[in-house]
Amino acid sequence: MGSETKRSGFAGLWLAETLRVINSVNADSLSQKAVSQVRAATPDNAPQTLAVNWSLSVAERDGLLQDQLRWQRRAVLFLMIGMVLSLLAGFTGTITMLDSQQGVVNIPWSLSAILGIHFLMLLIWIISLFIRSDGAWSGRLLLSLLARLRGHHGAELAQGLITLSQRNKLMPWWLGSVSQLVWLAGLLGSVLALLTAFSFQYYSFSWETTLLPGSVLQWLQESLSWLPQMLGVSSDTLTLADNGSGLADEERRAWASWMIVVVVMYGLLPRLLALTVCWLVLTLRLRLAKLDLSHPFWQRVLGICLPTATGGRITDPAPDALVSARFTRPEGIFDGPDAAVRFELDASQQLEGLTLSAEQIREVDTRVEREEELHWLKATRPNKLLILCESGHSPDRGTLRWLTRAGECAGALSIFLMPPQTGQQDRRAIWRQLLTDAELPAKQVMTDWHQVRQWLQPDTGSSSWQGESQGNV
Amino acid sequence: MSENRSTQQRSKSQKAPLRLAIVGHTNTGKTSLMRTLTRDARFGEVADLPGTTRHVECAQLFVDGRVVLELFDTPGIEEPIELLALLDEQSQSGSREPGPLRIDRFLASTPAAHQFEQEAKVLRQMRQCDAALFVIDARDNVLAKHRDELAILNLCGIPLMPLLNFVADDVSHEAAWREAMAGLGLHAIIRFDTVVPPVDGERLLYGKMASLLDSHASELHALVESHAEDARQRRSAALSQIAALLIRCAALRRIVDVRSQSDLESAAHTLNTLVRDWEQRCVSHLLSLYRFYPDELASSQLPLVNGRWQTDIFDPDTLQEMGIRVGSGAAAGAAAGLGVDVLLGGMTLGAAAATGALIGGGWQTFRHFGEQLKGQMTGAKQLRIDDNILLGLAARECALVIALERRGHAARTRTNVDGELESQLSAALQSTLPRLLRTARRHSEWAYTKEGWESPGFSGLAEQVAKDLAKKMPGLNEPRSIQG
Repeated sequence: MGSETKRSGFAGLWLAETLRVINSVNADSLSQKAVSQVRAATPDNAPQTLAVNWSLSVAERDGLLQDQLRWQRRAVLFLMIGMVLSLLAGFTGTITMLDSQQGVVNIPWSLSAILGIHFLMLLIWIISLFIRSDGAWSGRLLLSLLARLRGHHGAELAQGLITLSQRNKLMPWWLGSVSQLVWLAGLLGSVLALLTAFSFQYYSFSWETTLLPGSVLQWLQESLSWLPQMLGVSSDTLTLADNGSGLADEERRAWASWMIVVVVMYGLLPRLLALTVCWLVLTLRLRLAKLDLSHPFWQRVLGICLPTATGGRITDPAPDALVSARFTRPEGIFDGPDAAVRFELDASQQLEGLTLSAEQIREVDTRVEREEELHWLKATRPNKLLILCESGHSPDRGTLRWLTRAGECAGALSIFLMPPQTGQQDRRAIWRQLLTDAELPAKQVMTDWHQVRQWLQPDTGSSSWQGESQGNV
Repeated sequence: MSENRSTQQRSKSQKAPLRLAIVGHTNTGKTSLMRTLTRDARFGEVADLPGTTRHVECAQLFVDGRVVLELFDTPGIEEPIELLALLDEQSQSGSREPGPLRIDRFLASTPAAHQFEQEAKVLRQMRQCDAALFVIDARDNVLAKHRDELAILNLCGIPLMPLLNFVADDVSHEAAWREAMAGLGLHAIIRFDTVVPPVDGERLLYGKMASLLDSHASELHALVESHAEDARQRRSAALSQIAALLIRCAALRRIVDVRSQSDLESAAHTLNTLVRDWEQRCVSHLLSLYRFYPDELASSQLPLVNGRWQTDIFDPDTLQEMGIRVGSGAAAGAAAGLGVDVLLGGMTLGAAAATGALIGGGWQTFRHFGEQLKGQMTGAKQLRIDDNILLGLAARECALVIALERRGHAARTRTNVDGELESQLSAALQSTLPRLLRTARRHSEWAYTKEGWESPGFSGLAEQVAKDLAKKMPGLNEPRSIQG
């Protein structure tokens, strides 16, 4: 996936956040193959990287990657247009301002016109950095601007960028960078205008006031010269001119360059500094930016990309058919006394309904008991054999096998399903089904003592398997 | 094949995962246990029928994407008595031979491919595993076949950990089973219930396993930790989902003309329909968050039918069951029955609400009061969702989350969210929730904010509400207690 390298870092996070905003993307929507590719691309299984890689995969499929690139290009274009407009505004504004003064530049007036609003806005920006704000108004402002960036998913991309930026406290720095750039362009326009005007027109300079005492102007000039002096631009030769008419050429040149230096120092320089700060903070915070992985959307995505368990890999398949026992019709003559077997019954299970004597009822559970019972049955060949089973227990193949073998040793076989002990599940239906599957006629499976007593009566019984199934009513 | 895979695994990470076979008599809930341990209600096939599982199926459990535990679901053992007889027959020199040798000899013999084909699968898997969990239905009596089964499994030469399933039932024969197991030298017994897993059951289960298999203890502990972290994250996501629902419903309002009763009713009906739809959407999100598949909703243990609440939130009986009294003085006439709070020109708005709104409000507040002022003059009523309905919604969605958390993935029957829990929740929330949601009352635009487009104010409030809900919910590993 070549796109991964292109869209790593913040762009990837932004894409991911946009997908969360779109939200119509079903977390299950990626194919199994794509999900395993996502997992393969994230060997360390870091949740955020997984979420981003998942998003890249979805974005690539849905064309969101292209949308984002287009959106970014447009945003840069808008910014450039803004900067050009600002440059032009700065240039023409300054030219107009100089022109309107008819050859004598009033220095304090002109400087405040060029730098006044810039200073004010810079101050507001710095103050705003210290005000704890959730960025709601700035976010909304940017959203209303960015929403103009039409195109497929334009609004979603903008919203994604905004929510991601707000969560990671990037918003003031994005807005800061943009405003510094625009101001920088505007001030550059002013400097260019000053250079152009002073190069190609004749200007004289004056410091004028009506209300203020002259010392204020003196103080202003000295303070403004302070920064350029610190940076090695001397203004020692300059004296305050209260009237532009009597200035020598050197003085005018000196004042002109002083003015340009002041605009550069107090206009361009602070903005450049502010821009550097914005970019430094931005790069730092962009590197630390995080998705809100606790969001239900990401929880769903991570549940698919980073499952806590996978199942369903069959390592040893089921056989086509199982070898299981079948009831068969017994052969020969069975004239022994009727018998009953308590098969795997709990000792507490009482058989009030059974009319047989104690010797006729035997317990069967262990291997030895099972084998002995079969020997005994083969020896006595009972006419009727009743086997009592615990219906709370689950029947199994072993049970069925023994029942079939016991059935072969008696003239007629009936299986009585004891009612389940308290609390145990009633599995009589399962017993019935399994016994029927093993080809035992349904009438030979009993759940009613009355039925058993009737079956055990000598006259209704028959020694043949066939007769038995007919003789029962 | 499995040999090959496990070496691959070893080269990837230093340690091979713990391989654990789940064995036991037929129909004792082995696949149910797998479902619970993998938290995957779709694993395998579960039915109250012997021999439901006839193959060996592997599930892998991960910590940070690394396999730490491989579970193998095996077919139930059905003919232990006959098999032990065969094993005895096969070993000429009696039982003095080492167990694994006898098992291997059996696996190579003809009956292993014929009559005992299922049992052979189990034993073959056990020979490839590090340990086995022997699942017991504690409701069954201890029978000879069970003893023989234990004797066979003990021959495999790996640690055998008995796990008593269905111990939550009143009639478990736990003592008899413990005695039988002690006779075979198995003293460390794990109690579990796959259908009603104990609150801390999984932690106890893995903890016990860790103490028995100390070479794998660190992975098992990591597994427990990772599951706990998952549970925390999932709950926090669930609560923010609920918080967003509550904020939307609280923000919802509609201005109607007071002079027409039918207008009032149709507007209230519209509000109610919206709230029902949103609640339903929230429920589906919660289900998907807790990996609840739509196709298993019908047989789920949840209080929902086909993923929907059976009772309407606007039905006074529903609220009554949650211990919320409806029909307070403020809500008047027909609207009370509709669960809608009627504000006539803002006059019934409490003084506390008004000051609260003024302090925290800004422009929104003025617009809000402006509308009310206008309403007062034109005779328009403002409808909004009643506080009690919001409380009811919060309580039952939170109760659903608890049910989802407590649900054993093996459960096959439905149990109700107990009304007591809901009333405890609503009582606990009563003091804080309506006050928190008052902020949302002032932002009618939040009601229709698209998901994912929430404003920072919305998200901030949602965070607060979710925090409040979290405070009132019982802890993840605690028995049900509501913090008041």
